[in-house]
Amino acid sequence: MPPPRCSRCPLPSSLLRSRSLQPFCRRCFLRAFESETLQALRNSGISPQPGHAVAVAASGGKDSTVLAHLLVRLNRERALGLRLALLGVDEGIGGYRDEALAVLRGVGAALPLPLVLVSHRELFGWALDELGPALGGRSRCTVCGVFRRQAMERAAREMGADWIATGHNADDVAETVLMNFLRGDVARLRRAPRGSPEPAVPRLKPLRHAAQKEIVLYAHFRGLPYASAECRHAPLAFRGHPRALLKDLEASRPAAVAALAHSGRRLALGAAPGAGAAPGACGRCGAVASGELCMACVLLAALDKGRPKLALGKRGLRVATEGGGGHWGGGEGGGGHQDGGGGHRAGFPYKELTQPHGPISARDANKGQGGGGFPYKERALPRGPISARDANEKRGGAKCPYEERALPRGPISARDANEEATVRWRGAVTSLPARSR
Amino acid sequence: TSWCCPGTGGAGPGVAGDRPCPHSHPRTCMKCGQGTAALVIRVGDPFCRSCFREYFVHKFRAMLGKNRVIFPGEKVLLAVSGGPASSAMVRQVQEGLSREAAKRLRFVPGLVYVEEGAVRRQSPEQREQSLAQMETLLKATGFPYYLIHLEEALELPPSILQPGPERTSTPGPSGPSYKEAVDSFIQQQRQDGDTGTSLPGHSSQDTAAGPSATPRLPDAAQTQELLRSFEAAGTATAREELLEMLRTHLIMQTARDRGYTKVMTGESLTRVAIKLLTNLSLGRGAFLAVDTGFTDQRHGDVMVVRPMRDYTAKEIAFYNRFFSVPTVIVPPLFTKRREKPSIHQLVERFLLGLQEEFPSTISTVYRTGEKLSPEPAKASSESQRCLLCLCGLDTIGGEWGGHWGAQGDLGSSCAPLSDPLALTEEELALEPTLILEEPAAG
Repeated sequence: MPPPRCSRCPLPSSLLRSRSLQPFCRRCFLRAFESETLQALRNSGISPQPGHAVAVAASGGKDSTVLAHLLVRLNRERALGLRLALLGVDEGIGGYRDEALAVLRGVGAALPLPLVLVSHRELFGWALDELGPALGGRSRCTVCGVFRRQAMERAAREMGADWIATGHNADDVAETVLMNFLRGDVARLRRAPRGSPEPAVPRLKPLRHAAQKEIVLYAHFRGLPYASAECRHAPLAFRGHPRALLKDLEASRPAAVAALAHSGRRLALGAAPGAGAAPGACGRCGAVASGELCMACVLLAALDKGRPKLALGKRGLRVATEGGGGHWGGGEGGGGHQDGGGGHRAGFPYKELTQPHGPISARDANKGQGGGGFPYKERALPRGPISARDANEKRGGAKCPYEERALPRGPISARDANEEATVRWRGAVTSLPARSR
Repeated sequence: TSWCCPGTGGAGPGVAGDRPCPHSHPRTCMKCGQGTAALVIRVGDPFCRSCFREYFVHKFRAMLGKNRVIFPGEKVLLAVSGGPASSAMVRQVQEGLSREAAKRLRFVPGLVYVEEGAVRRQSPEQREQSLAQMETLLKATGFPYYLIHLEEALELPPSILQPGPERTSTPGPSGPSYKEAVDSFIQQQRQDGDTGTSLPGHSSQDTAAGPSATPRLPDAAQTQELLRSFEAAGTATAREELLEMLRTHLIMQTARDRGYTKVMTGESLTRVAIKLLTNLSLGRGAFLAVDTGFTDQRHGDVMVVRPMRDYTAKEIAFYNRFFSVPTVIVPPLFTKRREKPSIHQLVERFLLGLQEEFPSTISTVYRTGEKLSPEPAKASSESQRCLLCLCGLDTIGGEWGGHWGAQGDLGSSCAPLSDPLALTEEELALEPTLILEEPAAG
């Protein structure tokens, strides 16, 4: 009996596609996969135009590595005219993120693409591993995720990116639908099809239709190296439950993954209360926030006060904005973000970030020393055992980390190593030196 | 009382401070404060037997009363499976209609039971036995009842695949309002000397359409053909969906034939939560409201109502036990050896398992489902309806339907969008779930 043939060409097949179970040979699969990703890129509502800058959120894992390679290839073969760069975030999880970042640097060198790295420790003062005692044994995934998204937003704005592309695959989307339903998170279910609101940097998820299995296959066929270790804190994550269910569902019926994503898009949830109004800016840091403070600031305030449980609930916002007793400056109840030029909802917040001495009322009102520093550094009063903070303090660090990026700083090795690479690529792009790894 | 676990500061070992002590000790009913609690419902509410009964009955009446879709004098068909939820539902209707009940219910009930033994791996003797047990149960209620075999689905007319005409007596601007209907009904009752809705002393046993009025098993040829249809549905998931569809169609047809305008089904809260996640996984996210909501008006002339959807499986089980509600249990749908479990089974196992660790899981899923808007995709014309489930199609205007690449050119030399190697739209569409044989014509 002859071996099964590819459904598109006379060659023998090497695999069955994940959803349709049709046989494909290696070459046809690669072409089909790339073509589908291109279509997903174009079908995103508004799609990137030639000349746009896309920051590819990369972790060194399989999804983002495949995404980076795919975007470079499509950019070249289909003349998309996009400007690409890699954006990595170091959450400070030892044994997991370090290795992934090493792979990521290799990816950046191989493609080649410039790589920008930011870290939780320098942006927020907390590395994920240090969060354990403060959180009291609870899952740190919320904090990790909120900080990471904030970090990506800031970095993307600093880089001048028009889009952030992430490697979410079909399995991720399906798990998210299940998870939000299980937790009753109607707000997220409602938001899902459209993504983050203006004026955040718009997101692209070109791999959202790709099955996880096919991404692995693509990486295998193209010989792409990636880091496959699992995060140390993953067993605590709630997502593990819907993930296990999804594996079983997929085994029973492969189309269930796509079906869940389709269901998620078509949920009839009705309009959200207060929908349509554009979100404002956080009073502390100027990031996009649907309330007075962005989630990252709320979490930080609560972590500072040693009451992280509060941050994850509704009272967190109230506690964070209380003037008294907190580390936040500006004793005029609410942190003084009501006065000062423009108010905290004025203008496009990100423009102001690039000029830290500009009209951000929170900074001016709080610091009062004309030349407001980055608020998180201000908050870093000596609090004991966190070495990063102490180290920053000694350097008199009360400056926006972005300014310091050009200066190599001590303990953050990623920063040191990347020094040459982190040049503004809006204009000339510096090529990366050859790495021994 | 914090003295029951001495030495641990009032909390049991490993127990969060707000959970009740794991050691069992008598508690008083939270409602009357007097009786000893017989069970704990929800997370920590103890009830005594009589207060529980009141709670149970009240919930049923409130469900019907709040929604106001059952008009007085209306003929309502109760779909009974013999399982605990539908049996409890029958008991509620019985009690609610009895003359002693305060503010008694005012509709005209009938019962229908679909005998599915052919696909549940029952031998003919077992089928006869289940049938006899159900018949006894149904006869005892005093309501008219209908026993149907699943094989009769093979003879359904094609009209079942279309919604029926909306009746003029349905609530809305054309018909009388609920209040008016109730008032006029009460008036009429007084005139008739309160014999309006008195039920016949004995139940008449009606069978479904067919020249032979015998309730016995259908002939072997029909059973074989039914089994062939079920075998043709390749996966366990497809088989479950097929069974549900055929059962629904049979009940609908019975309702239409006998002039019933409403059908009540006994889905419990637990069942609704499972159905929500199952249907999400099947791609029916757009129709969760009709599939699990209180009312389901897809079929036009007959409305499906789900009055038990607010009761957890635990409440129903306790009620049935305390008040001796009879049930008839049949085996589950057949599965082949070495076949993957169906999505329905996987979700059920998952939810019940997760509930152990997070006791609010099932109710959270249920409440999320309640937030869905009750206006699903309305079909603009007949051609836009799904043939099998009568919901408006949700395949148009989505990610892959309709606007392919209408957003700008990414470069002048981009490949034509109809790349022959990309998945075609048929492949991107979900695989067919059912393989149905044509119902025998005429």
